Amino acid sequence: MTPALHLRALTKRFGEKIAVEALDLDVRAGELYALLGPNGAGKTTTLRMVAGLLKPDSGAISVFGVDALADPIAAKRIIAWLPDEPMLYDKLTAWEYLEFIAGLWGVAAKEAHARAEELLKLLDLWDHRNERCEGFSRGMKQKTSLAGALIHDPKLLMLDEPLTGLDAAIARQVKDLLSARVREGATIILTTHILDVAERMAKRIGIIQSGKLLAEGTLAELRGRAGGGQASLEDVYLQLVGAAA
Amino acid sequence: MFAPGSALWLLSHEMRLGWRGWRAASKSRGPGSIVLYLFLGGFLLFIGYWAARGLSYIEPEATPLSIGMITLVFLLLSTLMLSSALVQTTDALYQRGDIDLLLASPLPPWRILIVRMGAIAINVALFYLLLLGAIWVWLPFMGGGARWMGLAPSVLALSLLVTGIGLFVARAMFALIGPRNTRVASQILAGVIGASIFLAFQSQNLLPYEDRGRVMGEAMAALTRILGQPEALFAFPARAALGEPFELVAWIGGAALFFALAVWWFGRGFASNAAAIASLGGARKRADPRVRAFRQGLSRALIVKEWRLLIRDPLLLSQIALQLIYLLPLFFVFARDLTEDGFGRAQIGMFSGAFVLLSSTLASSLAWLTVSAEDAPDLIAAAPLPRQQVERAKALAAAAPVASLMLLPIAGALFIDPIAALWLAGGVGAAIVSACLIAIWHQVPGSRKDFRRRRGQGSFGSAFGQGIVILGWSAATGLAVAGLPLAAIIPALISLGLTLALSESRPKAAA
Repeated sequence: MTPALHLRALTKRFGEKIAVEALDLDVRAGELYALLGPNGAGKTTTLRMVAGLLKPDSGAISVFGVDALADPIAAKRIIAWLPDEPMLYDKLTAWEYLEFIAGLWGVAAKEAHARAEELLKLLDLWDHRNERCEGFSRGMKQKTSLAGALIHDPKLLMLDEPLTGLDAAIARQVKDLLSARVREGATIILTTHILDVAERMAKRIGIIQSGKLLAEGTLAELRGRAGGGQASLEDVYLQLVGAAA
Repeated sequence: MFAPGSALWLLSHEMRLGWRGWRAASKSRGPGSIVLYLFLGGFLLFIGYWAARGLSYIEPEATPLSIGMITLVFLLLSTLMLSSALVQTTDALYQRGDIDLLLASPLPPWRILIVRMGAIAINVALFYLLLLGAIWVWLPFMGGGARWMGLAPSVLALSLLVTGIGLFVARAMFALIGPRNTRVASQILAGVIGASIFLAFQSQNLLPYEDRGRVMGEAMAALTRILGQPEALFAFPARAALGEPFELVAWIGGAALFFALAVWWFGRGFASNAAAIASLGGARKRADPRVRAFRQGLSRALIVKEWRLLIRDPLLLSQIALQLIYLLPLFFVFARDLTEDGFGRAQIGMFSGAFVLLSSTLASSLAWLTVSAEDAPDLIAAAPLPRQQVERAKALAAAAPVASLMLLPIAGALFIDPIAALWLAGGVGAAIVSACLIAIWHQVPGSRKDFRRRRGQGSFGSAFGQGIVILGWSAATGLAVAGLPLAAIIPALISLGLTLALSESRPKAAA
């Protein structure tokens, strides 16, 4: 089966600093994959390369069999990228924003309209659809951004710290939406520092440090690598990262 | 240096922030900039010396003319200072974002407030005090110069008075239109006042040469009649500036007292003002129940997005409009010549050149906003679109309003002379295309907030080249319309060549 994401020997340097070093990673179609690691480990850089925002120095990126370096446009059509800081226009309303995103991704107007309505209702933003984003709270901005990421029904959704700064209710809404997407067959890669979320939601977990994949697998497999027992993901993570440091 | 928490310590903190903000906005850094500032300081002192020397020969008498002139200058200064005070008051509370930190500290709030407002008064007066200071330092050493030493303290007192008025106005405006709109309105007001003064100084260019002396004489007589009343209460500041001791002391004392009163009054509502400002982001309009149908198309999506962002930003619109206002004197000159000589080809040529200059300037500004000042560059980069397609749509978003606007003068030219209209349309088209292409080739990611500073963000070469290209198309159009198409070839070739050269010199990332 073609993996949703296939990275081989992916490398990115910023001057002397190696951000990502010969990274090999496979994410299976239809799974929620959590990419964990300390600050500066290379998680965001990796996702930005996959999203076509950064050009790798070497290596290969394939998204559902599409060579993202040779044909970035085709890859971008099936990817959605949600950074930790929402990419919004303050002077546009939520509705106008979604219309704009649908235009960028070439979604048919009728289809986009229906999907925007569905997403805004699902995320409790329907009553705010004609308000400008500049008046939104952090959580509302994040939800609007998420709706924008989902408007073209991406096969691969990459989220960088999607729950940072959200209150419990909004975080729950976002988690429910992501779980529903996975059930519907979408693939999700998320980075997070909230290990409970990764523990509960992710099918497989990758731990990255200094641009290299330190460990990967289900929680049980990671526990095994960390010496077995019923340790929490936090314990496993700290043990693996600490041992590698 | 000062005891932590003291008023002077807070003031030094404010001054440090102000200095660093100014340094961050200024492009020149390092040892070169120190040399530049030393040179500028020396030059200012040099000019100040000669101005002080000139003043030392003049008896500071309270005549109707001197009182009228000084009062007029103070009135002009106070309008500039008021708009500046309004902007700084909202910025000090709204933009810096440190008010919560300061208020959460165990320092008395009145101290925080008085220092912050005092810093505003100093900032408001700083530019004028620097100019006056260069004269003032020489005055004690000039025979007779010391009589003019009331000038600088009078201006400082004016800044205190105007800042005080600014506080009253700011609080009233907060209540009426809210802090966010107060800030935008203040910034627009500042620009309009500056432009009005600029235009007022240029207004004599409208007059035919033979009438200038007479009109200026009449203006001076009116000034003397209305403002030149030494005994009137409004003459107090002018008499203080002329060094009359009682008036000087009373003017400074009165202004300081008024400022203190304004700070006290503003301080009474300080907590609610700060709270209103802190909640700026949460202000929402009532939900609009309509559901507008989506429309299709990438170019449409990008162009509509750019236009929406533009028309919803009144500050930006006013800054663009001001650029055009500053070009108005050019039209004044041509209009004056038109009334003297009628619609000759040369005059139509000059007008056409000016319209090309205007369209080029406008297109360049709009193209910078659409191409370089993208609010969400990662979003656009992550979209499945070729970069060239996005850039074309953004350039079109910038070019279309300018081209539409220029249809008016082209239609006017068509009425007078169809050939001239053809040249004008060609010149406008070339200028707009060049401006958009240069904006794409030499884009430097920036923020809309930095619109006024955008020229300092790119390379000097591209800015200079762009300036020559604009002038070239303007001159070529002017010459062609004036009936000299062969002469127009030279500036047109220069513009074309430079545009191509700028294409070659574009940074690789933008290629």
